[in-house]
Amino acid sequence: MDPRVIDRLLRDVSETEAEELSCSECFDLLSPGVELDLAGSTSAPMLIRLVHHLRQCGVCREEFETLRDLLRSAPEEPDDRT
Amino acid sequence: MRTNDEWTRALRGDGDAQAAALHELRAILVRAARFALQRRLGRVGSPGSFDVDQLAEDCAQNALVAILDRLADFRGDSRFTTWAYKFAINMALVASRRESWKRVSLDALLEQAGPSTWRLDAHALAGDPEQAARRAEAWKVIEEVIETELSERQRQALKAVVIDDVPLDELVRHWGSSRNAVYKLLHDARWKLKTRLEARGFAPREILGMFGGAG
Repeated sequence: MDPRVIDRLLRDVSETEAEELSCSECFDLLSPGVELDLAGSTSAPMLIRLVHHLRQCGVCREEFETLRDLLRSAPEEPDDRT
Repeated sequence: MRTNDEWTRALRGDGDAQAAALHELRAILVRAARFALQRRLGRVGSPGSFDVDQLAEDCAQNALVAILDRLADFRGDSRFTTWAYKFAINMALVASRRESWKRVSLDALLEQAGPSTWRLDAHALAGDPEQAARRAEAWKVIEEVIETELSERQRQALKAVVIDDVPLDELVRHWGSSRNAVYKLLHDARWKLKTRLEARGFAPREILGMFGGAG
């Protein structure tokens, strides 16, 4: 068996928590999570739970990283929240 | 530049203001979908013969429908445009993964999950005999749990995702399931492995170290 597979399985198992975010909960938190990440607020409790899910879920992780890269690539814009 | 309130008000409204907002939003979504498709193409190579621009247009249209359907869910905890992007990105990546995997028979892949799937090679048990014996003992627990305590579907999902790198979305599509359900299937399998290892005196972090993982 490929050592990377052994490493991946053991890492995934060791980081498993009894309660984890579902993919739907992750999707709900994706946009504020990416904005927090880009603002450097990496210790925000919501972001910690989100990152834990992202470490276990490749498809959600790819969506998070793509959204983050898209925002990084966008020209600097003023915050359009009210 | 619209504020969040201006976006939601215009999209909920009617007439020219709504039409202008829809037009603007659609352009934003096409851009996000194209970005997602091109980013993935850059990482995994050409997944097939699809037209990126056409697929981006289709994904943007589907994302627009989803956004209008879920407008009431927008809580204002991010920019509206960031919230909207994620729908286009989700649809583009799901479509792109489908293109990448459409020539692979998941039936055949899933049928290959058997007792020897998780067997360790001799090199994983080489080195200091005491350490090797401990590694073998720990791995025996893992094999036993996978073979005797996981359901058939959990075994298949674990093999597909961990060994074969099948995206969760493809298992979802193949089984007619949902991301939440397949994620839970895998979570429950991981949790069972973790708790059984701990019950037998093996801390998973310790085992990771035994096999050379950074922890």
